[in-house]
Amino acid sequence: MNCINNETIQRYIDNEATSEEILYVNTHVSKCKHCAQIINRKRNLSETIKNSFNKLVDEDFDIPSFTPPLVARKQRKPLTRKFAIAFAAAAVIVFAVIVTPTGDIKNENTRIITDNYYYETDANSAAGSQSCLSVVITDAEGNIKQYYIE
Amino acid sequence: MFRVAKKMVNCNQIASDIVQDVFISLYQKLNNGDIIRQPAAWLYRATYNKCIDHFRVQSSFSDNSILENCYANDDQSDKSEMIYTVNNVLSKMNPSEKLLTVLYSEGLSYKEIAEVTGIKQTSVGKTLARTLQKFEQKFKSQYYELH
Repeated sequence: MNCINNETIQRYIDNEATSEEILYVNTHVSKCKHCAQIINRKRNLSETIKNSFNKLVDEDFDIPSFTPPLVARKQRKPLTRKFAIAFAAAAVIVFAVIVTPTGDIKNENTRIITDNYYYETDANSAAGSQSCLSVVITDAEGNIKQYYIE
Repeated sequence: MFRVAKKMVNCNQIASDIVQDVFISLYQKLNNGDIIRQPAAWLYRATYNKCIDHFRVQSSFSDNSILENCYANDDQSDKSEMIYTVNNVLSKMNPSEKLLTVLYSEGLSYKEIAEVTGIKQTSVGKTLARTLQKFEQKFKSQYYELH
């Protein structure tokens, strides 16, 4: 009959062995003194370990009460950082406005006429007596329009 | 949870902090609407993870005088050399082995241990036998060194 392996002995000691294993161990131990000694030794070891480990923990210890953690507030951005962000945003907007082509409104009814005209005025004369510049425009249909520019 | 944390880190104050952190994590998780299928296993697992975090922080400290004080006070309160040796051996085990041994000492069933550690339930016995054997060897060598 083969001797019992360590795994089965451990399970037997810890009451985790199956009914077949328990039967096998009991039958074997009745005939094999060597295995009986091993089982006794391992049982003592297990008890010693459990006892000595449990002595590590003081029996009377205070369990501190549990306080739920506070909800963390969102950190506010510092004022200088706020200003920096606002300034950057404003700069971007201004740049966009400058760069974007405005697109001249092309109106067919609009005509731009540029001309230079010099005339002398008498600075000593009265304001009401100064002459006006008269512009006469005749369109394609023969309509005449006259403008006075002071 | 406190017992597991205490056995893992060997300091009452740190264990208390770890338990608090675990409950805060649980609170936030539940507030976010997450579902925890195995609450007990989750709590043990979270405690273990917080202990791992603590070990990482501890290892990154160049000046860990506060922690040394904490351990020194605990050492003074220890009454027997056996407890001192157990602590010493535990501190030299890797975290997953330590957790397995601690959970075993807490009397958890193999099913519960499997849920917490992620080991298959069928492999818990084998892993446990191996870990306890390793613990026994280290314990004996250290305990006999003292005497």
